[in-house]
Amino acid sequence: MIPRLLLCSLLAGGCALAQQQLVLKALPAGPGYEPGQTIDFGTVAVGTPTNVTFQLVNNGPGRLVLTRLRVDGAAFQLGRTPAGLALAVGQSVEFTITFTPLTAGAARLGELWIQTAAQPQAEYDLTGAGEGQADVAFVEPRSEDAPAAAPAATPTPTAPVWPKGNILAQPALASGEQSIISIQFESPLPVDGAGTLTMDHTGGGDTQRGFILPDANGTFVPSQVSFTLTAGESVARFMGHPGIVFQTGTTAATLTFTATLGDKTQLASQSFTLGPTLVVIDLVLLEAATSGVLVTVDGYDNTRTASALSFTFYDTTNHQIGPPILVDATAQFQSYFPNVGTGAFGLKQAFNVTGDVSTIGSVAVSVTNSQGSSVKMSQ
Amino acid sequence: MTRRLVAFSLYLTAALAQTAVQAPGAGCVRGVDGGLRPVHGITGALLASAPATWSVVAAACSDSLALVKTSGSLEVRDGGLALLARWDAPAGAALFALPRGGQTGFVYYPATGQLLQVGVQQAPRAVLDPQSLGGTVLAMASPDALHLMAVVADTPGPRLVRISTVDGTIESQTPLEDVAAPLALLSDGTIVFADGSGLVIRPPGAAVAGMALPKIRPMPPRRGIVTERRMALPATAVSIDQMSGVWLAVRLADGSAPLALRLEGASQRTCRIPTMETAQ
Repeated sequence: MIPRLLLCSLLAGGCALAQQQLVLKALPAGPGYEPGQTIDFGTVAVGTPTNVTFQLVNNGPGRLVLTRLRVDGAAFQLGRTPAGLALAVGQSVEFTITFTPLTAGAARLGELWIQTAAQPQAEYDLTGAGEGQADVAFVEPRSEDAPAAAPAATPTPTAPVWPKGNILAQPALASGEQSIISIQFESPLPVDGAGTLTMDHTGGGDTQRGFILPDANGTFVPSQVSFTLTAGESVARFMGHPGIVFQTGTTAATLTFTATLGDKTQLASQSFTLGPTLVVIDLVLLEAATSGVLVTVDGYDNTRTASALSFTFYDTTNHQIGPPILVDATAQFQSYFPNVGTGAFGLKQAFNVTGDVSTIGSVAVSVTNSQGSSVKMSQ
Repeated sequence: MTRRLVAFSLYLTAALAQTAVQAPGAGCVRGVDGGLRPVHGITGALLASAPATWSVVAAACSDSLALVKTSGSLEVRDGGLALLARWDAPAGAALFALPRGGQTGFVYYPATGQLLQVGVQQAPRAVLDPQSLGGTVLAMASPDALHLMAVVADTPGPRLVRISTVDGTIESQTPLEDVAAPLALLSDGTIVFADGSGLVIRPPGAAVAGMALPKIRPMPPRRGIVTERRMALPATAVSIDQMSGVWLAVRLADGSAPLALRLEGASQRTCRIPTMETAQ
């Protein structure tokens, strides 16, 4: 069956096919759809699943990544989602939507959302109608049915009973880490499905916090990724993988992950707290510079309260050279952090030196924030 | 201690001790789409941003310079990937050696065997006669301004060659055992190469093996016990590129995001390099 094109909306940027990089078509040889249009699945026997395969084609001019593909509406179900897939120019990908009318007559309504990293979300309306006698397993209760007249054994619609889901992180989430997030169920899944894992935060936002898709460029997705569910399995899959890498960022916050189906059914939710910590110094480099030495300190302060610095120099035989040199960098940090979306910083501290610079072998750097002081030696 | 205090004075006043805080840079990474992207962040929190240029065949970045090979040119870019100079180049891939700082580097074209020194202010200059290497260069490093080291593949096996960049003299050659591409050569002589589904990190002392070839200068004595280290990877490495002065970018055969690798003393740190998606 080929869906019929019902309406070309002039709203929401519709009817601009020539400008669309991503083109949606029904297979085989079906029409092309523009954002805002309605995709009609036609009239189908009640309770009978009908699959329609669609094709997404990247018409250029550049590569794109599908960051979201989602279907809403009780009568519509998305098959394996290609969300997260990168498409080169000219490449295409197919996916299937199953329409199963639960009652006769009235059109069933749903929506299809498609989003790429570089373009705004495209929405399509889904519609279809049911006909004939319903299979008892799919009969929806109707308000006009007289309760007294209804047979005592009238069945109610059978929605799948989803097992309890748990969202896990391995290794445990902490600032400045990349962990694998997985959704594991306590028993095998009853049917296929698809959904979305969303990350919300309270506390510090972070421009470097998000999911890393398992594609060749490691596409960064800040807050939401799609997953698929397969009957008989006990784990959600992200682009076929049983987990997805999540980069926590470098600011303290409480992160809440929520897994939901396309119809908003919540499968699992879990919060993790990234507590305030000492400054983490990732790298200390000591190098000769004009008239002295330059010390580079890369690290992060998830409290964004860094203030005092201390530099203790050692000679090439590891003897300390003089007392620690104290620097108050409060002003520099306070002018830097509000302008960036992370707690990561790169600090460069120049020192003028009189004498033989080559006698300097190493330096220990201490950075203080609201949680205390941390120290690291140069490499 | 007193003598050193006299000889070495650090000025403490705010006027002389200059403090600058900025986003930490982590070099650049070439994507499979040919985009060369600057990378910022620290271990576990990296992010590659919008490409500075496209159609990149090969590239290497230091903290102050980037050498970028396109199909027909070699570009010299600064640490922020702004274009400084462009030179004609033969088609195909390229290997690079970039010291952590400085304004010059080295490029090797496998297609022609040319090994050139290149910088911001100077046209590419041949370091030596390509024939004198007697093999194909697999990786290069620049330990100092006057020398170049190269791992050269030859019929008897790979060799570590030390070359004077002043006159092109081959100063020493050392046979290497069990080393194959893809590999990276660090400025201290450490070799990082793929082995099965992992990486081998072989410091210079551990790399010494076998009999010296003719014209080979004796190696300096080993300092202590040096052993190579191995680290597992999620998949086989297909390339190892210089991402910055301290980072390597390792691309894997499974098509997943590249790994950033930093060697730190006796340990190594890795993390994925995510890419902020942008329209081409």
